[in-house]
Amino acid sequence: MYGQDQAAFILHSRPYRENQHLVELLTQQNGKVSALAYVSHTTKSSKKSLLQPFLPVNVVLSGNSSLQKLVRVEALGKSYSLEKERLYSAFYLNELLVRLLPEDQECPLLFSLYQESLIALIKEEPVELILRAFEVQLLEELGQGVDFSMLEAMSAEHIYYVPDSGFQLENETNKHMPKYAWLDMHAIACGQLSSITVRQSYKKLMRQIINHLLGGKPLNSRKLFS
Amino acid sequence: MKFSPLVQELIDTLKCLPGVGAKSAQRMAFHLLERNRMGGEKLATALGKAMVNIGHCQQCRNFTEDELCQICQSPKRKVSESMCIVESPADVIAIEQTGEFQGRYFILMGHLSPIDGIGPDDLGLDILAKQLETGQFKEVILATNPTVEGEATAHYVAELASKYQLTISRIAHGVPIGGELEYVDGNTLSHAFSGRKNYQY
Repeated sequence: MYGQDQAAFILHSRPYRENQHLVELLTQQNGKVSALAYVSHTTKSSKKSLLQPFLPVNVVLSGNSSLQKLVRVEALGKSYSLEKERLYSAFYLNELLVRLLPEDQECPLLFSLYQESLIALIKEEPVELILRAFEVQLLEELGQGVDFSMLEAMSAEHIYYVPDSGFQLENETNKHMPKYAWLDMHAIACGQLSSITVRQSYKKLMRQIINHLLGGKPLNSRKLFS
Repeated sequence: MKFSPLVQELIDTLKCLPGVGAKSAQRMAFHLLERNRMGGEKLATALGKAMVNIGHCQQCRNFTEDELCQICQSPKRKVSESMCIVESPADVIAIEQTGEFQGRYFILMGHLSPIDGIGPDDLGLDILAKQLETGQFKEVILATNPTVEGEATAHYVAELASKYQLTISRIAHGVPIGGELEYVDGNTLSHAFSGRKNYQY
């Protein structure tokens, strides 16, 4: 329900007209929401500092149309101070959410995972695993989760993943697609991610699915890692 | 009722200004036509000249009609050993007004913002790298905005600058002068605390 206060994160905000900002938020109860926020340019206003990404905030939204109004915003705690690759990774999470998650789809699990991922990112835990866990949950919310149960019935050294239909053995239509080692996929299904080759295959798999969902348009935050 | 084609064209072109919609454009057009023809002509020539002649300074990327902007041309600054990196030409003006900085600038014309599609290639970092290569500079001051995007940009530029042996510094975050601690937001205040200085007395 709108009109109540709820925890949220700003994903992105851009100036709109003289004294407004168009903000995209990930909220605890309503999922991703676009809202309009009034921001004054006077030095007394601290609202601008609250409209920053990676700061846990409490917001009150109002309105019935698709574009909400951000009535109130308060900081809930300290901003997650991320640096270097970890900051870029957090940008990556935001870009994924902004580009892929549909608006007004309730996703409390994804919200808490987003918060946990940010906490994990400041704690020096391996970045790759945090990102993979988030991607898996996001795909789950989008109805594009990977079904690993098909693996057992297949016996081949290499298999293919076809978005929307799942793992397949080699055939005429999937020849040009990236192929994966069966053992790597099996390890992912069992959650054994300690080996580097498994992690690389996992990354390749996620990348393939996400690129498919994005319709071929590249993710800009990937350019920051170089 | 329809306006004559020229009047309509004027109104439509005025709409390209930020914050100007159909009504304001119409008001502006009528004002110029009715009360201020001279001003209108001046505006037209100034705009025409500016759009044709103004480009970017080859050193700092600021707007200028010459090859180098006035700051880069100044003999004192030519030999300066510090460089200040800012996001926009407006930031240069703000810093210049303080008179605090006597070195050269580099203007990124934006900040890294993947969601808006602004990546490292859009910030002219190749020009920056070329200038740092000359070895003239001993210090790089990162004066990007204290936003998350500005911070990311600062990190990215710092990474690039770290290849050349120089001091890299970041402008301080803190409580504004004349402000009251009670009303300062928590984020700024915690930055002010973590970046506190020894008190000289």
